[in-house]
Amino acid sequence: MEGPDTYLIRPNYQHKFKPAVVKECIRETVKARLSEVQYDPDEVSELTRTLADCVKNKVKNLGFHRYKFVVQVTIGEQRGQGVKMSSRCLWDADTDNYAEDVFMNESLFCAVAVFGSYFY
Amino acid sequence: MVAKCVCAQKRSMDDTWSAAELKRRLSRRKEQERDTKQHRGGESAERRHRDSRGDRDHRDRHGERRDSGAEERRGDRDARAEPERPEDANRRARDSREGRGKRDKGRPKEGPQEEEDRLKRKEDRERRREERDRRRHEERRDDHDGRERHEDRKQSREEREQYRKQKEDRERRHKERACRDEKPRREREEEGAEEERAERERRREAVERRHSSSRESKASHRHDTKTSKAEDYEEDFEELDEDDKDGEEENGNAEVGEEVKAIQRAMGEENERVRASFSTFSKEEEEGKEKPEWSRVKHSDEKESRGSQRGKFIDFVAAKQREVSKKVAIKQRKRSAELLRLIDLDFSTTFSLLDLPPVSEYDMYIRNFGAANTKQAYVQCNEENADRDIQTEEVDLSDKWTQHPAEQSGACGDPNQSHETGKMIGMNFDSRRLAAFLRAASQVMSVLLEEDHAERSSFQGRTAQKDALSFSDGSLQLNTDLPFLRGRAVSRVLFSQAQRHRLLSVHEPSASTGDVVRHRGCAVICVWNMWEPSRPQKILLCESEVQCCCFSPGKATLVFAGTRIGSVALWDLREPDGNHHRLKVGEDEWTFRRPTFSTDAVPSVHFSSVTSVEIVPTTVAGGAGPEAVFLASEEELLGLSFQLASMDDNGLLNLWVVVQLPKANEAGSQTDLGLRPGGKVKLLHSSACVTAKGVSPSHADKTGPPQSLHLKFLPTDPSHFFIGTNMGLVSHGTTQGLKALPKCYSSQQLATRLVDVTAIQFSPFRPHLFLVGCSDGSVRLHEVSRDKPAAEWTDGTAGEEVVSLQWSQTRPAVFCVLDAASRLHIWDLLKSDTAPVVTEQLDADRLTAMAAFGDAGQQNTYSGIATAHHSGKIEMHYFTREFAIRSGHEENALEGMIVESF
Repeated sequence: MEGPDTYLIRPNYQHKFKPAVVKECIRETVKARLSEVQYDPDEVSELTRTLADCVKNKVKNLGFHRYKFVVQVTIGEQRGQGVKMSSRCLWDADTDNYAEDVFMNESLFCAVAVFGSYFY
Repeated sequence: MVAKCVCAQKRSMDDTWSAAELKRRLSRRKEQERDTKQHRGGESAERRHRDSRGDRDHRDRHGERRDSGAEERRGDRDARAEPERPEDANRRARDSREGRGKRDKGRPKEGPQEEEDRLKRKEDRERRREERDRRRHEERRDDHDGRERHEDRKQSREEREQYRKQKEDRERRHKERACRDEKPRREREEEGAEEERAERERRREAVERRHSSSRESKASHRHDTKTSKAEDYEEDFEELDEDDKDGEEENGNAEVGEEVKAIQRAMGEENERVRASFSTFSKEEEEGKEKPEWSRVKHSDEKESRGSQRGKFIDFVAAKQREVSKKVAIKQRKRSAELLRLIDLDFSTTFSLLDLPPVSEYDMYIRNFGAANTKQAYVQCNEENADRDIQTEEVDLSDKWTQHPAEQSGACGDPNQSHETGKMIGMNFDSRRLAAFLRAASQVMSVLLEEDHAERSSFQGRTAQKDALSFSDGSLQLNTDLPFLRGRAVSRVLFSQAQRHRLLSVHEPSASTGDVVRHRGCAVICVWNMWEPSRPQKILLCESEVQCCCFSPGKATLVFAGTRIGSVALWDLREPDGNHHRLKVGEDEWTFRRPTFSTDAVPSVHFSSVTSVEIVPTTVAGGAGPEAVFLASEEELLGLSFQLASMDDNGLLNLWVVVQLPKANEAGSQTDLGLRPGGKVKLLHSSACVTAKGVSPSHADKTGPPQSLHLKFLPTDPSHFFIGTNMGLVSHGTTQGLKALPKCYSSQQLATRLVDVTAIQFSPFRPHLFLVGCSDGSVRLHEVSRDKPAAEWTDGTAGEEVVSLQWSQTRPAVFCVLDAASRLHIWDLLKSDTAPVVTEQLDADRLTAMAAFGDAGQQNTYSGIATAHHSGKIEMHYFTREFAIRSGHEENALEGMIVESF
């Protein structure tokens, strides 16, 4: 057996998950990637995956230590349908947070949500 | 969420299936479901994409579906239970092997009991995983459906289903656990041994299947959403719980070796069963490929079972894996337990990540319409051209005004209506009546005023009269002392037959210079009202000398005059004064009336002076007699149309019809040139007849051309006329030219004498008697039927010419004679039939004309003579009673006398 485990219950304030920063990061990424893209059902699945990976890597580099991230990317075609996305989480509200951004253009909409949960 | 993502991500690395293959299978299933679904919104690219691809695999899909679906339709738990049995058996076999293996190894960590417990739990877990997998397959199909529809909605429903199912599982598990906990170990030994083994086997199978199917699940995760992950996580969670609890159990409980022995016994029995059922299992495998995963799983199991059959092949890889995962699980458990003491997890609020409202149909239409900026803004449906009609009764509006304080005209009024119109309308009606009334009333008033004036003047003492004639007891003088009448001699005086008080006097053109210059050469006819002696009622002007004149019958509205130049003039006395020339003479204003009609314009009517103008009397039915007064109504019936006869010197008798025009033309007539503009009465020449034929030519040499001097019509028969000639004869003729006897009336002595017949007068009481006066002073009384006179008085006037001869109007036997010597003779035939009764000499201011007047009415009988003097004075002398009032038998006496004479 190992020795007694040490747990960091609260992260340092600087290392806390900052939604605004993450949101900005998401926005840049998405804008850069999706600005002139038309919705194409063949490519879109690949696109979501790559976008999620890209966002994840970027967020990782932002320097939130001991945070685990869940990146969810949803791209849908805009055909006049109504869409509602919501989420609910069971977490420690002090340390965990989420950031989301929505990008829309003529043919598609893209919702990116990054959930950051602190690994104690 | 405590590090479950790690596990999930780790497993995602173990993809042995190719993504494309998986996609195809999934897409095929999606297409199956999508055919029957309805879509919201427009055609999406994905759908078209998938549909185009899906037609190829249509048949295969259905076959697949049938087979795969049939299994599940069989029933939830039964279906799951059936394939489990052989697999369980394999599992159990494996477990037993592993258990033996492990036991053989002699793991230092865990006691055999612990291991067995773990195995049991694992079997449970596996079983649950199997069930979950099956459910997941169903749900995946449902998920495929849901993808076509609103994803989230479906997901939520699926989530709920999953939650429900998981809850059921949990409950079941709890029950199982409870069973396990509650049941004493003895029960477990007895009944639960098989169960435990089955659980173990199932767990193992589930774990393996999970591994194999996890690839698929991971692949589908890309299409699926979080829910499958959550499912997995929950599974893991549950596992953890189980593990935690298992761990607790482990820590807490201590196993007895008795159990181990029981287990070993059970395992041995199962192994035998496995061998028995191996053949059946292989058959099943051959029969049908239900699902590739199932088959593969079975395959792997088969491998294991064969392995186990061959010679107790120890599967180290799986054991190693299990070890590792167990370690990790324990660590995690410990960690979570410690942390949960320090941390509070709470349920966050719902974050809305994206809320995109659906696009309205109108916006969609507009988007497809063309430019996105256009909007249909204008609709033309001719709304401005609306017609409105109201059908109601017209409302009459009128304005009235009122003011306070009131003005002179009144306190209220109507601005539209002017006062004049009302008044005028009223006045129109009233004016005529008013005028008529005024005319009548004014005459009465003037008469009254005259009388009053006369009384006053008489009171003042002007009683001395110059001529107090013996036969008169009073006189009345007409005021002829007018500026324009001064110096004019009165040639005739004539009384109207109908209106006894009306008379006219003819004043000859004056020679003096002191008169109104303008009218010097004209003859003036004055129309008087006897009761109004101060001034004449009408003053008529005639251009030339008036030889004869007469009134119209009935109401004296017309005056006819025959002139020296051979024209007949008529005056309409009804004409308003304004039409005629007004002259201001002195202080008063006089209206001089010109003739309304003159026959001057009628060509060749008379060629010599008109000597006589007479009204042709109309025969009144019933023979009312000469006293009949033409009533106004009768006159209206006649319509003021009667005949006029004019006779000139040569005996030419013209008959005229007096016509009243309905409307006066102010502009004058273009056809009737003799009609005065505005005149209403004119003469129409009806016929002419020559009357001087009957004169014998033998006398013509001596006497010269015969002259007709006087004309009289027989009052009873207007067709008979009597003409006094210059031969001393009165010729008799008829207008129709018939023979009339006697032809002439001459004196007794000589048939023809060169004497002018100066007067013919019919007796007003006895129309068949007429008096004839000649220029030699003889007076004859003729009867119409005889040519010889009934009586003749040759020296009645002592040889002086008879100027005028008048019957008395009241007494049949009295007549007056005026001779040239200005002597008045009054004869009364009852008293004396040879000489006049009274003779008056009037030398001063010689008499020039005479007319008898009188009214034989019952109330006021007056009779008298109007005398015209040379000076222009006109006097009216009233007879005394003896001459005025007649006795009753006078007429009879006269008749007798005449009869006697013949």
